[in-house]
Amino acid sequence: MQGTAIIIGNMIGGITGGGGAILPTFFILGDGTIDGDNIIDESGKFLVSELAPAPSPSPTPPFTGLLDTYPGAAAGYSLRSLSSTYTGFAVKVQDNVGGATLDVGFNSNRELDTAAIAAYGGVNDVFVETWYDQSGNGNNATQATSANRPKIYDGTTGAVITENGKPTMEGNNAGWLKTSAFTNAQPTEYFVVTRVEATGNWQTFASIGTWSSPDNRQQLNVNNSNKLVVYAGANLVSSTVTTTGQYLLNITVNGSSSAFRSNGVVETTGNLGAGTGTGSDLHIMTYMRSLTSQLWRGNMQELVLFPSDQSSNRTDIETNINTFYSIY
Amino acid sequence: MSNYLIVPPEGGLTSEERAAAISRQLYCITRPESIQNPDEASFNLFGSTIHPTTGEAALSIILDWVIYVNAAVDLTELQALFPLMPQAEMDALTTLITTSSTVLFEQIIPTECTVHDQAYMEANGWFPPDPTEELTEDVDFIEE
Repeated sequence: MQGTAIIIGNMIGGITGGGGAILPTFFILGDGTIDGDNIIDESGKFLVSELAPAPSPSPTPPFTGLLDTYPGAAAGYSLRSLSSTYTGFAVKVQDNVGGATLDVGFNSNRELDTAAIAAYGGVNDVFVETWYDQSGNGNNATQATSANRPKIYDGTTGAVITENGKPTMEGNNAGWLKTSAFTNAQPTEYFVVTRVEATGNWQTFASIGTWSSPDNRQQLNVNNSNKLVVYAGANLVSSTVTTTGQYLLNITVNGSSSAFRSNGVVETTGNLGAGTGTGSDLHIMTYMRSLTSQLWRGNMQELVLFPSDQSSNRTDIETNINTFYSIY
Repeated sequence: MSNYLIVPPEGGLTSEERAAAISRQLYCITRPESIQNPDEASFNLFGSTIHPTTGEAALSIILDWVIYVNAAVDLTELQALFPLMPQAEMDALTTLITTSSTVLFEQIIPTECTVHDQAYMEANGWFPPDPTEELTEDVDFIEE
């Protein structure tokens, strides 16, 4: 079999395809002579010593995301790609100076396409209007109100906001998002990558359900003593004071077998109550009751909810997350 | 810290409806409907809160919020939401907006509106004490 030779210059001899090899396409910028399997110049020096096919580049290993390995999430929000089967965007953003919205996906490393956001924002701040659900369930979290959107890009510095080197979105006591209503019945498990600002204020980083008539909420907070507080009809409070910084938090809401962990360490265990988290939207970075007064002051990079107990996967999921974010 | 504008019912709209309509039209100053994409149909500028007993709505505002004015701005619908505004004030605010590239929100607050702070709102029952906030590590939630 023969391939194609494009020679810019003079060629003497013929391509024989010695040994029955497949001849690849090649280019020669100079005078040369085909000699069997080789191409030589006028002094006999090899110009090309192979007429066999060039080795193929190593194939890119297939991407395997968190939700590929641990499927079944009720919702998965992240500024990295969580699933090889999710082909949508990461976020929808908008500036406040008159720009239209922009859907932003992932780069070749399966991380947020920060270059696209920077090109869009320029000298203007950019905010998140939608945090897309990568679980396949379509539980996208949105914020229609300009003044209540999490900030993701700073026009003054000209850079996407980061936490420990990875993109993040700032709550900053103003920005929050919510989904349409979906059920989050027990047992359920939350994995959250967030920065806590230990300011001595009540803050909520996620809440779902109704707060009264009936009170079936699941509510994840930092209280005015800077301790982590989880409530689902009863409460669990961390034994340690939380300091300002990035955390991987894992909350298991499962009646008397509930627990929460911080950076891979069990903070507390006990009975969280029977809060079913039904009848209301999932609120991210705010409390569904007082949307203007208990806002999250830190930032958030990832939030994954599983509608099931993940005790057999919990440590591995934390390892997956921590391997990417290098939190602890 | 947010401030608040309590929005009374006017022009056949409830307080909640009028607050939502005003917030929507404030967004349209920057992104007039004539240039909006379909996904912007529900976008607005400021959120609102509802009084737990009276049902009255208040916009949660930021006084120094910079509103960018689009060249294609059309204030007709915003003007219609303030039927009691004196014509001279209406004309002055219209001129300010349409001749500026940006305005601070506090520059375009009608004189009929009063700005309230968080303390005022709390004192007047807008944010009744939250049982959640009475929690410490030693005290359980107080059920309602």
